[in-house]
Amino acid sequence: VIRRLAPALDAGHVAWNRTAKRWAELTSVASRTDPSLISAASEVRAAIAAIATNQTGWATPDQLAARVDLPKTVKTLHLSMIASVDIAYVVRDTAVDHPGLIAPARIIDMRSQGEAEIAIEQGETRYEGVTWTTPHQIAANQLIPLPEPARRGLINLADEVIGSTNLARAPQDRAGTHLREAGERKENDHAAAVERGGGG
Amino acid sequence: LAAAHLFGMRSTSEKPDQTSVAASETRLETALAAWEVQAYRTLANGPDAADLVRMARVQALITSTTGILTRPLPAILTAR
Repeated sequence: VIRRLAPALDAGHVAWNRTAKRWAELTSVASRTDPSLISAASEVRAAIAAIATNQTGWATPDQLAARVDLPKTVKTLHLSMIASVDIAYVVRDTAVDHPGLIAPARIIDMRSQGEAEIAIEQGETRYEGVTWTTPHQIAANQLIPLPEPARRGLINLADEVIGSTNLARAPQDRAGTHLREAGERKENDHAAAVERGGGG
Repeated sequence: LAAAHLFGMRSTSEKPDQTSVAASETRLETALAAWEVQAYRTLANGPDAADLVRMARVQALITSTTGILTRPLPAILTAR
């Protein structure tokens, strides 16, 4: 079960990274990250760095085993991953209907055209012959509202994240049961040993 | 122990390794819980694209860390 988890986690990692890259294209010089979010993100990074990294990169399995109770820590991360599905859903909803989503015209034009071509290949006819920006907007690289195909691209990416995270969740739920059973077995063995010791 | 930590003194525990392990785990748990709460708060307040970039990057980090920590698990469970 645990071995089957690795590809699903890798896919989730790639999907989140692609999402970050696509949303980064929509930022402008006026974009500001919420300071509280920066602070919370820094603490997560620092906590993970303390556990899972060494001076050259990721820590070795021996270092990891020495630093933390691995099953317990994986369980903590598992819970965080379950929460990340909900975050992905909210990110998707933001892409669907957030009225304030604006981005520089050049990147919007490029992305909208790309998404429209994909949709046209899949049989969508509404986007044929449509232009998404005016020459003036392109020349000035104005901040403009996201047209439908650009939103559609973000929604597809969010769906990818949700799909891959759910894939990673399913085997890990079973792994969690496996870890719990292993812990219970260990406790039962210990209790039996104590009982035998007391009886003998 | 708490006082020693606050004043930058060495741990007086007889098992400093175990203290350190527990501290790392607690720190991670606290950081992840605070992150989750803050992420929802930011999303509820009309997020900027920059906020979503930060969220996606941290989620990517959490996912890859889960992968890294999961790899040695089969050997550890077998040893138990």
